[in-house]
Amino acid sequence: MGIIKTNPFTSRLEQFQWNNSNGFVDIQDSIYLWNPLVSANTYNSMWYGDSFMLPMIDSLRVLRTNIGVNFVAMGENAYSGLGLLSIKPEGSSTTQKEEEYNLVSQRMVPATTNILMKDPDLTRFDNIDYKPEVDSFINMNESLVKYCAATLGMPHAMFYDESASNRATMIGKIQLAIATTINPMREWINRSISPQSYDKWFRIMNYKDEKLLKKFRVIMKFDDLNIAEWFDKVEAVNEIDGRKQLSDAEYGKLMGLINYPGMVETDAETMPGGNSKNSMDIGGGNKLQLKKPKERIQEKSNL
Amino acid sequence: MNKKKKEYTIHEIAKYIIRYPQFTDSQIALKFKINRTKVWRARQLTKHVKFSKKKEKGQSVISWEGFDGIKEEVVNPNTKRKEYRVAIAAGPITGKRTKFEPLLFGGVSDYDEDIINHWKPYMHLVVNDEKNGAPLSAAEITYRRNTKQRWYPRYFSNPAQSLDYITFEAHSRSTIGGPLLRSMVKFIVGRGFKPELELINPGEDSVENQKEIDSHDDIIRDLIQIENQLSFDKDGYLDISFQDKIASLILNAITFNRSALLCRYDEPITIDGKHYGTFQVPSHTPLQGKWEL
Repeated sequence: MGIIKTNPFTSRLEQFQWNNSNGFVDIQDSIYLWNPLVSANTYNSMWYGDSFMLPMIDSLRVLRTNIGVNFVAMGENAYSGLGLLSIKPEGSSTTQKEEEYNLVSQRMVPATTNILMKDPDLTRFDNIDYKPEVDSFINMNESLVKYCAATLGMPHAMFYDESASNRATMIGKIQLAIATTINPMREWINRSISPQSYDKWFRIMNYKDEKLLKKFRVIMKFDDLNIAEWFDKVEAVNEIDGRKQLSDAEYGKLMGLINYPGMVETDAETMPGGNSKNSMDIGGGNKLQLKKPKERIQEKSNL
Repeated sequence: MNKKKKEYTIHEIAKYIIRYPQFTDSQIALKFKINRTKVWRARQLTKHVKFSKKKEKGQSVISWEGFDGIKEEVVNPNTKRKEYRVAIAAGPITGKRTKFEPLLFGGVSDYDEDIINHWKPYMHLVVNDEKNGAPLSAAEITYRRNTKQRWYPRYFSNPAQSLDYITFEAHSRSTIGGPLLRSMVKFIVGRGFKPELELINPGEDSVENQKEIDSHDDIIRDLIQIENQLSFDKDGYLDISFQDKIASLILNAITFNRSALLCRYDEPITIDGKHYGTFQVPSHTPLQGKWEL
């Protein structure tokens, strides 16, 4: 895209250049999205925005070189080893010695058996152990990846996370990032795209009904990915259910189970959930303990 | 009466460039009354395509001899004339070549490597003092913005230039930067999105508000019908759903800096037997650029 045209009085976007061609596209005939989250305010880059790639470019270049060049060299040398072949030349003049060196070095084939027609007393081979700091190198690269993820304002748990102590920690990190980073971005996207699509279409279709247009607007509602499975929510939902029994529809909604009311029998016995809600004091120091579902199933199977 | 400006084709300009190699781009642009970008494109064309000196009747201006591509003879349905459609070859490097040459820059591929590895994105725009014309630093601009109440810029400028875009694209393709941004978009879009009604001035009773919204469910149903028609691949071209297009739109906007989805009004949108074409509800939304998410 090329330059934009804005209204000189309102500064609103009116047209933008498409594919650097001469023609302009009206903003009414498009859905235009720019990135205001990292825009360069000093240079007045409204309607243009800026890239999320910018802060991570240096680390990406280092990573690319490390993976494409340094890791390869390190792997080759660490695996096959480095050697130094010293030869005492037999020629008398400097030219003859140089020719001898060149001949040997040209005919040597790396990573295979070589036969050298030379007196062993005149040659020496030394192994070179340069002790590469492979672990430190890997750590450095990992920190670069973490840095890249951090520039997006997200924990690297969103992509991979070996450091998370357990599943709950990882889910907690992701949920925190969704609340702090992803949801504000969704708000920006909704405010940009919805007036150009859903809300615009709604106003076109109901242009005669002014009362309706003044009452409502249409927004975009994003559905989260299923990060926490239903079994992650059982305990919490049962606690709510234990306080006062939920309907099947609401229980399924809280658990994230599709068509839960259709899964259960309508006249089935209900069981209050929660840790402390399955027993009640009936006076005289006696307690009525409700059976847990597992015990009930066990009883049925014994019968 | 205004004389109509003659439109020169890029091939005509390219032929002129070959005939008069001593002329610069500016001189040629002045001669044809076109911008220099078009001259530059024509000059690139001359590097890849051999032009025959004599044009015979019925023969194409361009000879594709020596061009690495697939030449196909087609008949233009509008003019009923034979034309050549050329697809640029892709695949293994053929012949004695050792590396690909970039199509547009006409230089060596080291050029791209230099840009990708060493180009530092920076602003090309300079803000000048209104009195003496001296360029201002970022700190000075910020100071003026804060101190002078009447300080107001008269234009907006794009902080990313063409070489920046090349760098961003290369890194999103060949490094972990691309997968990072793609996974971010996956978290943003999640399982998808849908339209939802919202009261502009909601009342205090949330239950009553929800009842009012629920009573207008038909609006959401209509909007989803439009979305479904937009997602349907009518022409049999390779197309993706509206939801995927919006996801790609977001990906482009955060990878580069902005993106756009064009609307086409080829046929009226129909909802419950009622046509909405005249009111400019789009029937197609072709997305240019990156498709894959």
